[in-house]
Amino acid sequence: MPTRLLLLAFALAPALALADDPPPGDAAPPPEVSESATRPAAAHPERSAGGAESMGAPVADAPPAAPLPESGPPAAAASPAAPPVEAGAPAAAAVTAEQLPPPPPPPPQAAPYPRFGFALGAGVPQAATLDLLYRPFPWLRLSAGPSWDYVGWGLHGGVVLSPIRWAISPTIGVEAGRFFELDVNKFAKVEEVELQPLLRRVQVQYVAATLGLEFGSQRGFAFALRAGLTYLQVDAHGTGQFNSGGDTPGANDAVITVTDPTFRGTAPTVQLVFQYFL
Amino acid sequence: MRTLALAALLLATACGKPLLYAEVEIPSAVIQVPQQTFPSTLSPIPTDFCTADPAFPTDPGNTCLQKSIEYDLGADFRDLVEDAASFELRLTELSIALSATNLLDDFGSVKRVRIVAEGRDATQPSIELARYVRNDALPPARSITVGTRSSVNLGTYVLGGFIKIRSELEFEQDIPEFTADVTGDFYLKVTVDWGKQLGVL
Repeated sequence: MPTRLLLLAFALAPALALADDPPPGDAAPPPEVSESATRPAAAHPERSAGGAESMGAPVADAPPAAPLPESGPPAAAASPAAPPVEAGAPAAAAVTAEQLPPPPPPPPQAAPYPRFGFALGAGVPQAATLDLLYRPFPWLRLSAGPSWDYVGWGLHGGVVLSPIRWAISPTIGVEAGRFFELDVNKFAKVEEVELQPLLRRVQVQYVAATLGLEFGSQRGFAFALRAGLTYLQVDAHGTGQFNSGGDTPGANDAVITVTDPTFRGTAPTVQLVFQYFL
Repeated sequence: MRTLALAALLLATACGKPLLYAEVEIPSAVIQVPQQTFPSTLSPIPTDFCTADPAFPTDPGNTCLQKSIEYDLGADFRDLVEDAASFELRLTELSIALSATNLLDDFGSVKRVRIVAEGRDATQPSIELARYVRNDALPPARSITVGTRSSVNLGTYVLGGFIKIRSELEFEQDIPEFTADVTGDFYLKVTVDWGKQLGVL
């Protein structure tokens, strides 16, 4: 059993190493300082500063001295190379004061998240997307950029919340986009010439709500898989004409002229995104 | 995840739509049925006469003849309509225009016109959509255009993708048989609950 636990720990180690946020309380503790290393200088600072004049005087009369932090590196105070402090030797005491340890560095904290990045994505109905990413808070990400779907160009923008940032980070997001004046005839070959004007100026708009998983670092490269629901609206501007007979020619020879039809609907959305924070 | 799906479902329901739906809206679908033959007042058959209706009485000496046009909403569209979760069809305008070559020169002898959507069966009453009365101050015209009550949803009047619109014309003088292009301008909105059709929801 202990062997299995050990193997499991080894297996999890690389994944844990990818984590961006150390778990609470996992920060490296400040270096421990032994009592014996700090007490001589910290407990009787007047002895160094006041020299022989302070010898025998009450401690309360001594000028106040800045207390030394307990977590200071012990090297200077406890250095074996440092000359021992002797009473009645002012020169030696001054040298010792200069050798007081510098203030300790603050406890280690996670470095701030990079604020800017970019992303490349592909999905439905977003098509191919390029995003500029901005992260005002670690858990909030804003994105905007151009879209391209072979038929034409568009713009899109979105908001992604990433409440947990780890090697695998769950996300929830909302995105909206619009494609301008697409000429669908370029993509769909419609045989009826009278219908082609209807497909010449097509606008596509969408709003998508997604849940996703991001794999990788929130500080560098990661890729994301997102899925959800999208609301889509397609507006075709223009007039198209066709024969209502369809497969039954001559049924009543009616001619149908359609103007500005609109398609709306909801559908699943899927997106794959590669992102990199600078 | 389950909560989010439920929230999405509630949101969609609040909007009055299914969660997964597709909707087509066509503000103007003009269906022109050309070269329709209208009966002569000189030799009508019994079915050519308007049905007596106190709401649309015929003046003494005048003749009222009727012509029904069946509008085909299209073979592909028929499938869509039959599977629709909701279907909205409104007739906004109807016009009867004399064809180029006719024994009838104009509609000067037409005093009144009534446009009616016919019921799908005997249990569904017909509904009047519009009425036209000739303006004697204007010269006789070769076409009659009538704006209709677009507030009436004709969705329930569609059977198998077809809707039957009847025109009743009251003539002051005898006229020969004539042909005219009958054009209806429809507003159409079809909603399909495709999630239900696929058995997803």
